[in-house]
Amino acid sequence: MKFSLIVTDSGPLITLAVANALDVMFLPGLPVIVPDMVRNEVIADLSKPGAVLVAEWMRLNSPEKLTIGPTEVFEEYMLLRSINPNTKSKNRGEQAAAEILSRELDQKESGAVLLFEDAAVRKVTYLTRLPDRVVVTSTSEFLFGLESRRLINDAQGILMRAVDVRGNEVLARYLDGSDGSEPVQDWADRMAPT
Amino acid sequence: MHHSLRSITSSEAKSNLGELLASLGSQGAVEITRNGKPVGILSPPFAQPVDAGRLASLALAYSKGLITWNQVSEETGIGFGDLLVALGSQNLQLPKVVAKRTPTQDGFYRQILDAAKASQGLGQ
Repeated sequence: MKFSLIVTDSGPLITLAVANALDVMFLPGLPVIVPDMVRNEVIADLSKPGAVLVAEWMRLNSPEKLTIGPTEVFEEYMLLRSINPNTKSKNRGEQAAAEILSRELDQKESGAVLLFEDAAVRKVTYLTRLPDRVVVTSTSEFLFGLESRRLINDAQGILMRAVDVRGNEVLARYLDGSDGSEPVQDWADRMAPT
Repeated sequence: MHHSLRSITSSEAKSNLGELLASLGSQGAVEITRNGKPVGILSPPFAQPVDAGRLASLALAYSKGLITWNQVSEETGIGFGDLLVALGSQNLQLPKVVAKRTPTQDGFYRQILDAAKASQGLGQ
């Protein structure tokens, strides 16, 4: 069975980018597919924490280790955006991942690992109807799986680093404005919608 | 980041107001001039700031795995990096949720991890 790793939303990418651990995605040795819709969600606002790191990582590793998967979902979204710029990307990342999954499964002897942000693995409805050759995992489970095989040393450390607003340079720079943006006193003030 | 503004005369703006308004979302604000001097700027509405208390509640619910990132994003329009900041600012952790799998799916997952371990060993 030939598996690929499909990233279903921006959560795992941004988490790993902020924790400076994006390359762990390659440790299973599977081709990584990022749906074009998910890439768009990540790079829509490059001023957000981790976004530039993901964009650069995708550029460096594509197409050797990583593919940006084209989808009709993204095409349709871009078309709708051209008509109404306020069109939301609502759930389209997951829909794009489902489209790519279906294409992957059309090939014989193919399977896929779907990587979700943690909370989504309980909520996404189509996950209950997946064939046996599709394996769902979450960011934390993926990291702890790698740790269990001693491919990484500290899964918990990566998850902690991703939310360490004091010690993590990426987050600290974002909060104090030294990434080129305006400094703020209240972190919530920075959360303008993208 | 600085973007240079488009510019249009007030009489052009009057005659093409509909098209001008429609273009704000995709092309951004436009400067309106009269007698060659800028007199105003027509811009899309500013994004509403996210209510800090509401975001704190959403981050807490997210940290407990009760709501998904999509739900947070849909309500607030923030990026995932912002959610990480919101979590960290309240000393909250990322949720840890184990996916449900059939025994066959579980077997495949173990095989993938074992193969990764084996190939890592070969590479050393």
